[in-house]
Parts: sequence; structure tokens; C-alpha cells
Amino acid sequence: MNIVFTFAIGFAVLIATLLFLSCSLCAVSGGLSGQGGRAVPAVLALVSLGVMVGGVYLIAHINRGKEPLE
Amino acid sequence: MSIVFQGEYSIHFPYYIRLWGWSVHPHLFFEWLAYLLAIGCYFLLRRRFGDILSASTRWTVVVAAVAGGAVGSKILFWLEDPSLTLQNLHSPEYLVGGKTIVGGLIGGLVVVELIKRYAGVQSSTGDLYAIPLALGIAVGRVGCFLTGLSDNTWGNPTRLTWGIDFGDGISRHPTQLYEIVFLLGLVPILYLLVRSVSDNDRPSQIFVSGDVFKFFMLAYLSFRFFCDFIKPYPKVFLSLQGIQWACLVFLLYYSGDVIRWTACSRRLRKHVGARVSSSL
Repeated sequence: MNIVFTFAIGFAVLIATLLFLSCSLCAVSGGLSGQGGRAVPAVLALVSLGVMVGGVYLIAHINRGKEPLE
Repeated sequence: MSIVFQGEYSIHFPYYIRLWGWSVHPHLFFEWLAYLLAIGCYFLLRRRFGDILSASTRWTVVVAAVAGGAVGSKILFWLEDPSLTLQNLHSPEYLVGGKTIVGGLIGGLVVVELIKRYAGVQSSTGDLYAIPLALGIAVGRVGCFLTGLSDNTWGNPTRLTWGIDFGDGISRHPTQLYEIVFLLGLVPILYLLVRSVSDNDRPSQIFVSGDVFKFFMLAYLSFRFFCDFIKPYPKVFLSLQGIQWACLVFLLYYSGDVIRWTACSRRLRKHVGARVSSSL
């Protein structure tokens, strides 16, 4: 079950990361609509950053102590 | 706004990519192409050389590297020009806007090491990332080059014949192209290293697991340290730019490994020399 959670959270973090990077580009270039609106992608980028940080912590917590030590 | 090749072909910056009738910004196009290529290359290498980590641990490390890389690329961007960052503290667009590759590599490294320590993973995990990173950065730099002036990755003005006018009438060092050439030259060396580290029958006597990633980091950070001398970024301290300071700190971090490799190779040469002279 842990491996399912690991992959699910991992995908969520990867999607959040891609959103974070894409929103950054949009924030600079003036938004997807091209009519300004730079604040929306900036806020989305910050939300995805929160998902990334939380997800990475959670995934590490789930897999804590699972790898055999060398 | 263009460069002309032999009076026949010309490129206008930014050079938009035509895709099924759409015009896609070159940075966006090549950045995504770089991600896809790096992921594909990683899976090919993993199948070819195997993986010492379990699937869930590898996934944990990959996720930590990607997230850490994304955050690190922003943080070093802020430190690249601290005064400009201070002026734009109220501007979310500026704060989330730019990113740097060196910051991405360092951020990924730091977060992976923290997560590994937290999760109790002691194996080296980075060797399989070295080639995908080199290829991905090289492809991403094509986007930087085709974006032109607004990408801010060009070099200082030059009179050299290969200098490129990105649209402001000034011939500049195409540092993006220098980086592509460097990285493509590095890939075969990294491949040989991955092969020698993974060869259980004839294990490398100098490089051990984890050293391929360290070698890549040392090579790339050294390249960036020297290449950034011909970039017009602001100097933050002692005539060095923020990225150069970051490179320097992490080159020092890896200096112990360079000493170890040098000592190993010296011992090996001495050993081989002694065997040759005893057989004569």
C-alpha cells in the first residue's frame, strides 16, 4: 500500500513542479491570455510550491527506514 | 533583429517554433523537450545498467530531486542580483519569474541529501541522472539561444567571428552554444564512467558508485565558473557573480572526491609500474 501512496504523492509533486515552472513562465510573459493577469500565475506558482514541499516531506516520511543500510 | 548565414538564411530572435499551425515560444518548447528527453534517457539507462535502489526509494529520490531543483533554480536566481531582488520583493512576478540551471542542480542535490538522511538511505543515488541532466541542459540551452536577448543568457560583446548579434546590433559571445558543445562532449565520458562503475566483472579501481554524478557536477560547475566570466551579470562580491560563488562553494564541497580520485589513480599507476618492472 505504501508504494501506491509513494507513486501517487510523487505524481502529485511532479505535476505541482511542472505547474510551478510553467506558472513562473506565464508570470513573466504576462499570463496565458496575454492580457496581463500576472498575479494569477504567480499565486498558482506559490500554491504548487506548497504542494511540492508538503508532498516531498510526506513521501520521505512514508519511506523512512525502508531502504536497507549498506 | 536577425543573424544571417552566408546571405541566404537568417534567424530572427526570438525564433518561434512552428508546431501544427501554432507558434510556440522557443524557451517553452525546448524546456519541455529537454524534460521529456531527460526522462526518456533516464529510463533507458536504468534498463541498461540496472538500479541499486528499490522502486519506491528511487521514486522518492526522483521526486525530491525534481522539486528541490525547481526551488533551487529560483533561489539562486534571486541571489544572482540581490539588489534587483530587494527592489522587487513586492513583485510576485519577479520572485517566481526567473530560474538558473546551477541553482536547480544545487537545489536538487541539497534536497535529495536531506531526504536521504531523513529516510535513512545511505546508497549513492545520482549516477543514473548524470547523462540525462547533461543532455537535458544541452537541449534546454537551444531554447535559451533561440530566445535571444530577453533570455539574458548571452555573453559579453566580442569581435570574434562566431559572435552573434541577438538583435541589438552588438556581436556577443553565444555562451549558450559554448555550453551545448561542452555538454555534448561530456556525455560520452559520462557514459564510459557509468559503464565502468556498473561493471561488476571488472569494477573501476578509481570511480565508485555515486562518482559519476559527482564528476558531472564538478565538470559542469567548473565550466560555469569560467564561462560566467564572459557574461555581463552583476558582480556581487570580490569580482565574482552570484552563480560563480555558488559554483565555487560546491566545487569545494566536492574537492575531497577530486583528491581521492587523484590519489587512487597515482596508486594505480605506481602499482602497474611496479608490476611491469618486476616482470621485466
